[in-house]
Amino acid sequence: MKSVEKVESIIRRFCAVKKASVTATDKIDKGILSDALAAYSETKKTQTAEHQPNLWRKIMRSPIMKLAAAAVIIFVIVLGINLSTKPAWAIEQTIEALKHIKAVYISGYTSYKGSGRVPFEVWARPNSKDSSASGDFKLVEGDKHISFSSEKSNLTYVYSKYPTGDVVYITEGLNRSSTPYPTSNLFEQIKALAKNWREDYRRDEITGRDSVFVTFDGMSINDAGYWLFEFDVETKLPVRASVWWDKNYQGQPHIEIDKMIFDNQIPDNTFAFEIPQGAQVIDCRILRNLLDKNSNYGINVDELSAYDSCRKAVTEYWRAVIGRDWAKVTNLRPLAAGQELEHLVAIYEQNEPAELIGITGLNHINDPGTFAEVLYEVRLKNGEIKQGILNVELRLTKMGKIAVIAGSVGPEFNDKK
Amino acid sequence: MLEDKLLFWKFKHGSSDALCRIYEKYKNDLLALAVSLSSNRKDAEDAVQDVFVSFAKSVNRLQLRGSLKGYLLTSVANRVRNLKRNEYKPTTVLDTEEIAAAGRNQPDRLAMSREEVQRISGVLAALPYEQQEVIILHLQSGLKFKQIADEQGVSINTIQSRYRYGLEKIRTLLNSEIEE
Repeated sequence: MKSVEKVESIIRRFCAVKKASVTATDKIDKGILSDALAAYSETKKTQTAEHQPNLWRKIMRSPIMKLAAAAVIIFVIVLGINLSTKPAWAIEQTIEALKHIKAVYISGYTSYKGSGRVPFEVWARPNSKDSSASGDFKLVEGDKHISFSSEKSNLTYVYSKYPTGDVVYITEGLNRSSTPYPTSNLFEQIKALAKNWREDYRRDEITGRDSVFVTFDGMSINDAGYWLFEFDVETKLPVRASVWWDKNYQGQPHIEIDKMIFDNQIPDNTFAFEIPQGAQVIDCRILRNLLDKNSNYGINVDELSAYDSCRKAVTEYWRAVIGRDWAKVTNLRPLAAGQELEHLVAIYEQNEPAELIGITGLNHINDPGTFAEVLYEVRLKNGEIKQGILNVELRLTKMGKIAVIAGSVGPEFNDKK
Repeated sequence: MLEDKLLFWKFKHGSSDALCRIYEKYKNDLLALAVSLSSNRKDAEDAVQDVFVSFAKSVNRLQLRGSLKGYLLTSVANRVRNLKRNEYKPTTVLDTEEIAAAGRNQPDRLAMSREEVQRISGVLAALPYEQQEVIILHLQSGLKFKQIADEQGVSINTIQSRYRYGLEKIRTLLNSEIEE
């Protein structure tokens, strides 16, 4: 007799197989998209052509409405004259002022709950193909982290300083960027998504210039979503910004931007990256290319979250290592083949693992600019406890979503601190 | 979720690129759902096409109550239901060779024989459409019961009951096959 849970699992498996077998062909795409786009453009055209004149005709047919309309026009003209004599600001003016920005520099501080402030600097230029995102991008966060993307080389470098040494990840594509790029697009999106919008006109205490301080609930960054933007009333440009976790704007903000410079000249060498001497280079392209050609590696994780997939891959890996199942180890860790495997086996013979104590942390989950990092603790047969970090790659292949071990960040085993 | 909100906002403000991106993002999920519910590839493609064209046409009046994905998936499910109501077609079990092939050379959890695929397809097709719909929206498309309930305008209890009765019926059918 099958239990309901077993039936659920069978149907889930059936659905996964079925889903993997269905993809839209180019022919279907073209057919559906061309019809949908035609309908879309027709609807938009009809809206602009029909609605406005009809409304105007309705107003002008009624004698009372004719008077009211005349009063509104006079009011707008008078108000317009009055308003033109004093400085005013509207987000649309910022959107206009930021159109066609060619470069941006931002500096400030980030802080995470329970930790101190870390200074950061960002240099960015718009993407040549999509101006809503950056192309060349560099982020320097304290002295422990640099992210760098180059449009020319189409590569991303992510550098981090770990207690065990420096690590540089290299990936193909622009995997670190400012999206949206802080120009018109960003402010259009802010405007569209903001709630509880409040404007407060007063002088900037540092510069003494007329400013507008805008607070709103907007898109959240690491769960912080209460924004304060300061705009210069004369130039219409943003000057400073902060985002808080606290809805009353109390405590430490998550991000404080104290300087925003637009259209400055950024020297070309800003977007050059030199790999620090002695750093471990993790070139993610090697494993990703291998998995694109052969997707029979790793374990299937179709039904698991990224978090659970990483945990499962590392748990299975240690089970295979402890069981000395080297064929399984190579399947889970495809780059550990040939001499690499021999080297790995030698390490495991010297430090024979007996038990995976647990997963102690996960970083860079779902980060295309790196592999995921899974921190673990194992107990050796001699009773010692060792720590380490394994890289896990989650890849969507034609066979479904798979998880593989990419390698180790730093030595395979470190003494527990 | 945020990306969907931005896409939907751009779509509402006249961006045909946003419409294309929405299609690209969800086309395979929608087609897979339609294929599962209609058991007929041609009808499934028609349903997805109808949903996208009507989605594009409704740009001026459409307001999202829940997620974009949930809205599109339930629209496809509703469309398939209407197609099924309007014309009688003998249920052709989908090309099981094609489905089983997709599971071959895969890790064990995803592999299924042609016979198994045919058997489960048959069992699912024997369910009342509403139960079949909830099971596939939940297990294949990953929608939560609350999302399905909100999009279909029924209570979450109704959706959970349909799911439970559906699974119970599948269990009975599968067990009776084994006993035969």
